[in-house]
Amino acid sequence: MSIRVEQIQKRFGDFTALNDINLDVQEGQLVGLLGPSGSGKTTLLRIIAGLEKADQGRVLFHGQDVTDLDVRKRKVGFVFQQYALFRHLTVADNVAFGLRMLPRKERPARSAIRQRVNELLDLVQLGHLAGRYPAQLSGGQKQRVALARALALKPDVLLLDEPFGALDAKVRKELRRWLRHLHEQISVTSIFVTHDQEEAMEVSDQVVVMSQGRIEQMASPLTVYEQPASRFVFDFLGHINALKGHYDGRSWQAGNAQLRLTTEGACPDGELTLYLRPHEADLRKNPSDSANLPVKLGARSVFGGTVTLELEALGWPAAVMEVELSRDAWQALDAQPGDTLFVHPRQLQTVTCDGNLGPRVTPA
Amino acid sequence: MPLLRTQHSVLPGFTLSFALSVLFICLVILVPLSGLAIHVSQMSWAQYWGVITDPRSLASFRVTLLAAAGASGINAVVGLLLAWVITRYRFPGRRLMDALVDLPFALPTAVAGLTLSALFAANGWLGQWFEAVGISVAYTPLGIMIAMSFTSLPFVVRAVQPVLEDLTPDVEEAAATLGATPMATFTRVILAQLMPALLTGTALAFTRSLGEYGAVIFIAGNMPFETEILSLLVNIRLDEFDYGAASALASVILIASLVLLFGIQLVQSRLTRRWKGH
Repeated sequence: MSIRVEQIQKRFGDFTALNDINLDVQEGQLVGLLGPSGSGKTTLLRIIAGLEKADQGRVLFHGQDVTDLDVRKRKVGFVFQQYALFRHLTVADNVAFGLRMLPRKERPARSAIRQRVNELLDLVQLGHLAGRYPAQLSGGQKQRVALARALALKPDVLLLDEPFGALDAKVRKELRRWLRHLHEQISVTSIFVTHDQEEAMEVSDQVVVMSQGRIEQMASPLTVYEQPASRFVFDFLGHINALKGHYDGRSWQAGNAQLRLTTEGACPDGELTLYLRPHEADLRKNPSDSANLPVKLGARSVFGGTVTLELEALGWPAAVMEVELSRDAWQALDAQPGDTLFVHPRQLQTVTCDGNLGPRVTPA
Repeated sequence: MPLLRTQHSVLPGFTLSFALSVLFICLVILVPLSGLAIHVSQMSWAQYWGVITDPRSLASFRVTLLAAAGASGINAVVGLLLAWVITRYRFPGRRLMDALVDLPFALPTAVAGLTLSALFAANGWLGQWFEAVGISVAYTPLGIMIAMSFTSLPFVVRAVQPVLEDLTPDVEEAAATLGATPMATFTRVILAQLMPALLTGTALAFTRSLGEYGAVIFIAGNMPFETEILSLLVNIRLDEFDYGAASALASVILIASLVLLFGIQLVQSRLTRRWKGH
């Protein structure tokens, strides 16, 4: 079932939580609402669920206006960050709750309920824990029970509010892969809220990046990363190094650092800020004609296939920079902490005078 | 001796803290109780049976039990409501209301009894209105019930309140997204989780009512066979220096209370142990 959100407006007192939100979600998609806390993503999710009322605007499911439809009748499955399981009921009774709440005429027979509960518990791989109480489960298991409970009524729409927020890193990663896989199996239109960029990028078909009650960009994960629509999106998706300096028409300079590049994006007075992503640069022991960014090697962190290096600018003003190298490149470099090195950006993002994103540039 | 939960106890040593607790329990609870048991044991079964099946005793059992049951019933409902209002709403005077709940604990019961009987007497502030519709409160079992519910209300409120505060709103929202009506959410989710605490509070209120003396005797009228409560009858027997009969009667309240409290404890721990995951 497709979801359409039109011109949603929501205020809490003086605080504008959502400002003119428009959103289209295609049937069967898994959409991630990504943003920092306070960006309005949870409020938007709750408005779609009917747990919160918008001050203005409409919500449509499959073309039908559900703005004034009670949450009980919206046929949404909702998964809460803190699980919200009924602690006095067993796992099986938790999952059966929605079915037992159906009006007598629509309620399946006892045996049918039991069968459906077993199916759902098998789906979330918890069949062996049907008789346990929520307090006897781990966080990941609880969230899977919550998901089975939300799916029991075959909802048209599945909404998940930071579903993995309360779990530790390893379980999180397992569970989000598993959610992706589950979504391929049951393909119910789903929206989930997260503040974790990696999670949104890995799980979603479409990412909606939100900031201060507005949608900054809605696109596929790849597009959001490679063609960010705004400075906020670029900034929010992963770490960036901001390099502030002057442009004289041929090269960018800050202190004794220098990059030769061509761009139209500089301010009239020559000020130019460049964004550098940690993985879009090489490190060498010598400067080149096109790039001379001397740095001192600081702390390094080796994790998986990449090595993250902290670099301190030598003789030019910049905050501590972060550059990621592959493990092979790091070994080939053969450098020790305290060594002087040179950063060679492969690609840089210019920021225009009015704070928007300008063209990408390559030093040459 | 194995120490639960923590390896290091903040209290000095198990032996000392255990000995002190046991000593206190013995002095304050067990020794007086064994005095009672000794008095009772000096009677033969026939004598004991004779005392407790005496028509006047039976009538007082009836009055006491019925009034205590009525009072606990009222308190279960009113106490739950009060706890709900205090935990769920923010209104001016909430803290005052919260503090007032404990007043029956603080007020000497005799003072409460005098006040209630003045209020509910046929010409009292409240009594006259009841009288106008033909209901006598003072000097009837109804009056006993009111006095009992006054003194035992805090038990229900204070038992239910912390559990209610623990219930997070997202559980109710979850019930709503699963199609539960407000009524179903209340009974199947909220009340179901409150039940152990509510049971405990009500049972405590009931046992407290069984033994209540000070607040009741002023409003009861104390007519033998009609409005004479058990603890008053015990007192009358004591005045007659009939310690055996007094002890026999008291042992009935005691046994009833112990059985009830123990039973409730059992039910509650079985329920909550599973909910808490032990």
